[in-house]
Amino acid sequence: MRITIKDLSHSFVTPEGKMKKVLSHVDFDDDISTLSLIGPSGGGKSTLLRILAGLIKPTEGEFFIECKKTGFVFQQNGLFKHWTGLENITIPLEKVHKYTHTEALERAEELLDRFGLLKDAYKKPSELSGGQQQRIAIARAVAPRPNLLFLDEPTSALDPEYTVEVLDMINELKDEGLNFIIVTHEMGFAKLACEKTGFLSETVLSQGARLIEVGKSREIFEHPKEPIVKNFLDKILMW
Amino acid sequence: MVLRSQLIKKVVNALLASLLVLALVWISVLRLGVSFDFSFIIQFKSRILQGFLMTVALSLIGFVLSLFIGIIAALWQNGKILFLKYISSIYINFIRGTPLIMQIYLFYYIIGTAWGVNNRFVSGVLILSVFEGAYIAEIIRAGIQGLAPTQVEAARAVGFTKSQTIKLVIIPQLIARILPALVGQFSSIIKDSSLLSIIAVIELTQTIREISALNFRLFESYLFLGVLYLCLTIPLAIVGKIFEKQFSFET
Repeated sequence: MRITIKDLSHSFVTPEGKMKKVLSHVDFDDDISTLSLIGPSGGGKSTLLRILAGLIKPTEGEFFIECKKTGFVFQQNGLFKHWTGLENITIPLEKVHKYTHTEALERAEELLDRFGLLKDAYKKPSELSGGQQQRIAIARAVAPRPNLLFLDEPTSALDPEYTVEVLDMINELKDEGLNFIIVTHEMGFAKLACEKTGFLSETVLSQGARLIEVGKSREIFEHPKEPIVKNFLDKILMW
Repeated sequence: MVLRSQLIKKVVNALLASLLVLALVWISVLRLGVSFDFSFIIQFKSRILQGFLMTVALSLIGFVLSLFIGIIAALWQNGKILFLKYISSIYINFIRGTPLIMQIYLFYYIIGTAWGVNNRFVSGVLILSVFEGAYIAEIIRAGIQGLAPTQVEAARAVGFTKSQTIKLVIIPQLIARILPALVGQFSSIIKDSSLLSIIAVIELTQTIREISALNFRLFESYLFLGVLYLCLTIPLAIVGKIFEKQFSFET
């Protein structure tokens, strides 16, 4: 899937009333199937993901994605709190994608069953563990069969054992041909499960992050070209 | 078994607490040296019933009107038009910062005299609604502020339109957040309506005042008055608790 980003920048006004630049002249033009975005915290990864997903408008620049239907998974609290897990999947299918109630129910049950979530289908998010919530959120995002899924640190609020079950689910969906872009701190997942990786960070020279290096995941992790990427990976992979 | 012993513990303690309260009342009564005579209830039953119904009517209409006023004030306060924001702010702060009894006298003469509303019931309902509306506005404002921004973002992410987001996500969550507090406010309206007796709206309190002025049975009259208010407020408290439980997904 072709993704083109041209000279994209984004600023926002802080609560103190100052302008803060988060993204600075991001350029990208490549075919991707699965892409991970990594980099230091506050490096604009989530902002870039939200822009690509159409949740926020960039202040400057433009981008093109070859597909229309996308899905989005938030870091946490993305499920609607007043609906059960099942309703979280069926209601958007009915209201947005014009499924009939029966079709929506069938699709939701099929997904929940597959990922072992059917017994929790009638619980509200507050009654579910963080891992269950995230897996239902992923099921909701893939239910309308999107061409591309955006995942914004889907495991960073989770305990390790839940992290694994969520990453397993994403990997399983990948094997079925789902394309995704994931912002993540799980370096193992970025390296092994994602075809490509992009490193996003501010530099000494620029205010606002830019895409420092993009390439095949294995290459980025094993032979990073840019010193800033190498430093970052050395530091976080030390333990 | 554990559940059962807990239940016994609860029942015993509830009985003890009730007994203590009753004993205190009983001792007070003995010290006063009065004997009970509740016969006035039968004697004045139609007047009492009328007063009771008047209080119910005042409170119901007052609740609907104050809800209406409260919603508008809350929307203005959360809105972007500065002028309306300030109007709402002045209204809420004035009402919440002054006692109801002062407002009743003030508005009764303003509304009654300047605007020619001579009907005490209409004036009473209006005053009560204006007063309670300010509190309801605060309840709604707090509810709106407490809505998680991620819920609106999620609505966008799944593809809901703006009106779908309001209808399917914001309003149901807002109602869940504010319903228990609104029920409590309804209970306040019932109690606050008693103050309208000072402008001679013949509601429950005023009725009992008139009756006790005739028969000098102050103690029994006001005790019975309390019981009648509890008949209205205790069921509401129970409903409020049920709502709280039902909507506990918020926390």
